[in-house]
Amino acid sequence: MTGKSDIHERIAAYLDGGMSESEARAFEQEVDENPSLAAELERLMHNDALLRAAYAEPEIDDSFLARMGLETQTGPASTTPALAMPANDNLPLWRRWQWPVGGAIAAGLALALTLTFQSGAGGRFNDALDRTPSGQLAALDQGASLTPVLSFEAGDGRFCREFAYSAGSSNRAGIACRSAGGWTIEAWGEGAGTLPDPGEIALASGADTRSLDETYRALGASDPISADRESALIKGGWIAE
Amino acid sequence: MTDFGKDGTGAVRREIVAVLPRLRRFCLTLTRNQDAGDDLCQATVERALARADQFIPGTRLDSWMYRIAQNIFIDERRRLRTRGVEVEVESTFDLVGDDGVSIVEGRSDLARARSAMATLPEEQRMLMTLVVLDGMSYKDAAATLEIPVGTVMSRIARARRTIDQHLNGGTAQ
Repeated sequence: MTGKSDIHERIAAYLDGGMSESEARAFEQEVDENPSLAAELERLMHNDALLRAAYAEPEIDDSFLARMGLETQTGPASTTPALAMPANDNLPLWRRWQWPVGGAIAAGLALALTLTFQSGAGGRFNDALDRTPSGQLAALDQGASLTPVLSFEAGDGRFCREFAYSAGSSNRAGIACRSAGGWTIEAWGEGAGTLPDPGEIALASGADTRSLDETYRALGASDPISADRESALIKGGWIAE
Repeated sequence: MTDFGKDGTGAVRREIVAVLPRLRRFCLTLTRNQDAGDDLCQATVERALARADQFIPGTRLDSWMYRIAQNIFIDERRRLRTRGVEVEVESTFDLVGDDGVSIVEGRSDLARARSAMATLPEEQRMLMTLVVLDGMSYKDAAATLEIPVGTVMSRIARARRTIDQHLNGGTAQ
């Protein structure tokens, strides 16, 4: 094995959760000290984010279930986010788009940049939500990443963001809303999941069981805010202009 | 754990429904064609339901179904290819919203990512789907495809290099 192929495998292992805690820390230290390696890591993380966006889980509608021979007498046995759209929904029109498409529309941005929050550089979950424009990927520690999908305003005046979170074998979608005390997660994927850093971010009651669509309804979500306004909110610390 | 007791059929069906979005994606990346992928998905589900008694409770249902899909794909490759000219990858995806609004900004990046994925050899496409898209561990991916973990690591690294070269050209090393 050459040195170059070794580093590619190490980067892959870091991104894929294939390193132990100590190996990951050592690798992060190496990345901090090697700008070339850091640039390569960022580039590959961005590539991965593009692939995940390009191959988002496809929707499964009733006709597809029927074709698969999986329809039930009481309707499709929906257990996945892709099946969660109710027949009589009153969601905002833009919610018909699923990630990553919604994010692309809302932010008006291509997935063009990757922001890295290295360990020790003050960047974790809250910071990533505070500072990352929609459609861009923020690298957290140990190969985890967070990509804000879009931003909107809740009926109670708070600013909220839908995001995709990836860490090892866990891929989650969630919604967080910001108040003076920081971000509170209002929805966290479907079913059980582990928060990246529960000491840093608040979890609203029931957030781990609510679907995104239910949460959008409960919050009285506005249309997605524009990229320009989102940019201003990021600069202004998410305080209403 | 999967229940194959009195209500086993219902339990398996529910689990298959839960796996279905990822299985459909796996079949798409394997065949590189939406119609052929859906045909493969259908054949996989049919075989899984017919052979549900062969599934070992406590193991991963998704891995079991991926193996079924892979076997069918290999067995039926010739027939699948004779169904018609493969559709360009880009045209097999719905990138248009419900009201017909096309996605302009992100489209080129996403199309390039799909094109890059489509250029990978079959075994690398499967691994990228399992590891990068599904978030499966190297160990589970190795078990799913019945290959050594070391092979998973080297193939994933090679696949990422190829993807990088397609997406970033000269910046890849």
